[in-house]
Amino acid sequence: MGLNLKLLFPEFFVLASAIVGILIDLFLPKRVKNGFFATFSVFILFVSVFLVIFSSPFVPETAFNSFVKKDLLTGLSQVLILFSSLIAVFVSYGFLKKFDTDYIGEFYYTLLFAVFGAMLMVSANELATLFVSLEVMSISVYILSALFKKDYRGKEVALKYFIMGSVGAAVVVYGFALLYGLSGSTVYEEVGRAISTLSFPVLLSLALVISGFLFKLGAVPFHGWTPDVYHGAPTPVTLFMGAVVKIAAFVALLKLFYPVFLPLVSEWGEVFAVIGVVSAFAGALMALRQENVKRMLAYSAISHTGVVLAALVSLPAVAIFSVLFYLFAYAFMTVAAFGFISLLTGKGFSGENISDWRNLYSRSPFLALSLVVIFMSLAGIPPLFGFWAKFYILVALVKAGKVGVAVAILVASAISLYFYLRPVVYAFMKEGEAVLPPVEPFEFGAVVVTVFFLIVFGLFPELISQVSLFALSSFLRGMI
Amino acid sequence: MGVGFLIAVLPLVSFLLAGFGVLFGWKSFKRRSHYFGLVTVGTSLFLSFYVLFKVTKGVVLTEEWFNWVISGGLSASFGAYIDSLTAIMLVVVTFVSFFVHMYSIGYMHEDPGYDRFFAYLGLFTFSMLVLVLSPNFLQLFFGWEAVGLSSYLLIGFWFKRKRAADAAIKAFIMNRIGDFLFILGVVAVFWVFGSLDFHKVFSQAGAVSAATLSLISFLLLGGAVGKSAQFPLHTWLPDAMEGPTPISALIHAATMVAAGVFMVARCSPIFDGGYILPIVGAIGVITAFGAATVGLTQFDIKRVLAYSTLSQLGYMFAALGIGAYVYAMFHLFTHAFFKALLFLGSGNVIHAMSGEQDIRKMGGLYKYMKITAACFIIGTLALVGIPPFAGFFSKDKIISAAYANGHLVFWFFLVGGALLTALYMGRLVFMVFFGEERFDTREMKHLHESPAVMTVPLIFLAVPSIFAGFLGGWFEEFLKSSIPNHVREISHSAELLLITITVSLALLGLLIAAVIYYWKKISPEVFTESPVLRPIYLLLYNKYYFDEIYNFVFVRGVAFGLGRIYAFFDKYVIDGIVNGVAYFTSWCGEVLRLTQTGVVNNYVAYFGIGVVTVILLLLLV
Repeated sequence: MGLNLKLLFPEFFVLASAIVGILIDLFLPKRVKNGFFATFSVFILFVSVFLVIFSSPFVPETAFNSFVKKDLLTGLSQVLILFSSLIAVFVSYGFLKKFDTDYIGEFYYTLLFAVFGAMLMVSANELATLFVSLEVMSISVYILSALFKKDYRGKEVALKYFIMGSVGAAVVVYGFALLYGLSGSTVYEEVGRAISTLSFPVLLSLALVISGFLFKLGAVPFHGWTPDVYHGAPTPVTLFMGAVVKIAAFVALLKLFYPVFLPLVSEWGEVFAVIGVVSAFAGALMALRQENVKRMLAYSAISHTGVVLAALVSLPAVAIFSVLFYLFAYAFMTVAAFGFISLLTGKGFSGENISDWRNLYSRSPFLALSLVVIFMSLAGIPPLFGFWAKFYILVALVKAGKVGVAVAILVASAISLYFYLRPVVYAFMKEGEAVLPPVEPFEFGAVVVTVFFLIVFGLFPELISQVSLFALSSFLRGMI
Repeated sequence: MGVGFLIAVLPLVSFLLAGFGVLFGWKSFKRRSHYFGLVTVGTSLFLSFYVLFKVTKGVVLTEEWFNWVISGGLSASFGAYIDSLTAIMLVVVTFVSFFVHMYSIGYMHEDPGYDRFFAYLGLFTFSMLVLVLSPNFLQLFFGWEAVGLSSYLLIGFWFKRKRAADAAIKAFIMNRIGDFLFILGVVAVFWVFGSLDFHKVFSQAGAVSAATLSLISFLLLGGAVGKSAQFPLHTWLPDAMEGPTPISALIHAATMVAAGVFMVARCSPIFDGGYILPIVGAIGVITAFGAATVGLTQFDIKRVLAYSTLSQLGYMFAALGIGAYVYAMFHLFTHAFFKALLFLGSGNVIHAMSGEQDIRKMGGLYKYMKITAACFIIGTLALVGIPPFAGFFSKDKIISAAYANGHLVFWFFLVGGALLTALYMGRLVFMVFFGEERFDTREMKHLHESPAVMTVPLIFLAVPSIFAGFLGGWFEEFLKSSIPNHVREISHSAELLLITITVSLALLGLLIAAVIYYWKKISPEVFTESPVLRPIYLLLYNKYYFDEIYNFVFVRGVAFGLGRIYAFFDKYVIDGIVNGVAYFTSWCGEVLRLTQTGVVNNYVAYFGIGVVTVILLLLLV
């Protein structure tokens, strides 16, 4: 018990840096802003990675009277969040050079606020903290979507996202309120003690909380906003949404559901399995005919979310492990894919459509090969990272006796192969001329690094599975 | 990790560097791509000698590079197991590969695919090194397939020529037939022994019934027959001549075809336990004698050499079949040097004749290219088995061992094969380097000795072709630590008699060749046109019609007949289902997309539906 302030040092560091960013923004001339803030953010995020690594305890520790609890699961997901944000900053630097905005400083420090929200969200051990951090992250992302000049899509999307987000927040907060009413506390462990059977208030609160999370994760039928927002938001922001928001939401879900709703695990597990299979199918089917790659990837994200949700029906420890592994792979793939799109995007959003990638191979063999790695990894083709992620989930499902779910996911993956192969076909086999804007070195570097990891972790999946096992054991220690 | 890892991985580095150069069209890499190969393979060669030196002291080096995936008791580890057998193979492979690299600088000089060629060479060398280093059947299989792949790439190097592309496909398919049996063999090994590790498998081989071992060794033999181009899967090797000549040297001498012999020698505990060895021997003898007869009638310089390779591999298989594993390896060892020498020499000839390969259009080349001719003749004498050249020692050991172990039929045909070898090699040398000049003035003009980069490798290969035979005693002692050598002792006088017979027959063969092709006392038409011999000549000239028979039975018969049935089924049943499913799937997608209205009100409505659904689901489950 007690305050134990130093545990939250990494979060405070990011928060303080964001505030310092606001102040600096007042004094800097516009032309140096992009370079300065990009360097600044990279520095902050980089330092935070080390702070997180050195401050994450194996034996779980709490702070602020158990409002926050940190273990290796938290630490690992924070590293992942920071890594994805780092790539997002690299990509943003190039993107901001190509697309003008008056709010360069705002863009970067809002991004840092969003990172802070995500980091706090995965450490939350209490309903109000969870809600506040969720809102910090979400509102920052709404702002990020709307910052670009002459970008009517972004403004429309920000509003849409904001309205939908408000509905989601309302639902979640009703759920939390009910839980507080049931238990008289908002700390997870104490709320958990009040829940044993599926009485009506528990049912209602559980349904509302599940709905809120499913909305944030973009699962069917809460997915309506996903394609519009993914498509309309500036690509670096989409990258951030796709990777960071999803990691934060999934880890927060794991950290909330297992301690609080453990007695009902079979009930909500089944719900997630049903929703997951439906999402996996719906996402794959709707992606089939998409011409815009960002939109296609939005549907693919729905499909991937479905796969991860379905994994929650397997035995708890195995489920957490396979979800964690999948998040790792998914973060790298998402970051790589959107980084790649951002790299190819030029004036007037050219390069976002599949047809803009015709014969990319002859323009740039390296980019074409990166494209193969990224999309084949998303499709789950061995020996790439995405394959192992899917593999572990399928193994977990089969071990838990859910062969039907596993087969359904396999079929959905088979369908999804079609649309993952289409960009490859266009890049290698279609006649035409790819539209390639001048290559921004930082965007390029981001793509190279992530593609490299997709291959390396595909060849040596033990590297990640070991780390995930550590995180799992640390998390389970906190449950006892 | 360790020195074995370095030996294997260095050529891969060369492949990657040159390969990236090709892929991204880096101009600066293109003209320099041979440096990667020379430096990496040169280092590998040096390290191989170092390893050989270590192993001669009686050490067996084992390394574990990495464990890949372990599931269900199957551990897929990559590593190195270097005993005397592997150490010798390492030296042979890197030695030949190094000089082939050097030679290719000159030979491929003007080829637009210069860098691609060196990339493939690196891959080929890497594959073979991984194969010989393997400590388990899985890595062996990996190397096995990688060798097959790289040979496919190299045989079809000039893929724009239809014949080259066809030859590459043929090599690949013939190898697949063998590989299919081989992978079944590997699976059978895992099934029976519960492990793929050489050490574990071989130490338990005694406890398994002879029938089981026979089955396993039969399946493994299938792989060896395909890879080493033995009867009846031999037809790909002569066609593989369509690749650039340095590749032929590499395939024939050290890499691809040696793999089969190496594998059988490596698996000697399994083969010894079964009943399969006589079949191995019979295949070897049939190939040794049959290929030699075909070699007599061919006119393409590389084709003659190709049949000589088949024949010599037959000798090795015969040695394996009579249990003389060490002698088989010794012949492989000496053969690697002089066969590489002969192929590179023929490359010089072809180079000088600006691409002409028909020996009827050559003659009298000795005057123009003395170094090449001298080296080629050294290689020939080694291949024919004239003492004291290398081939004499190794071939004679096999022939004597066949006699000593009581395989008199084998012995008879092997000795006959030796006579034929002398005959066709004599014919080749006399027709190419001596006699009247049969080429026209156009070719005459740029007839010249090759540059130093193409003659120095010949000289370096000529040295072991002369002297490697004297290593016989040491070699035998050295290899006995890893593989058995079941040869009965025979009296000294009997051995002397056998040597005399073999050598005199070889000399006789050369003499006959000289009479026909050098002194021209007898015209070859006497044989080819006489009514009695002509059918035999045609049979040999057409390589026993193997290609035609295979084409008729398998390609046209089985494949065509079944193909039509399958095509019908495919078109109307499978395609119907597939297209139906695809249509249905895409229709579902379209319908679902209609829900994506872009209107927030609808999305909120879905949200409401979602909450209700979740509540219902919670109640239902």
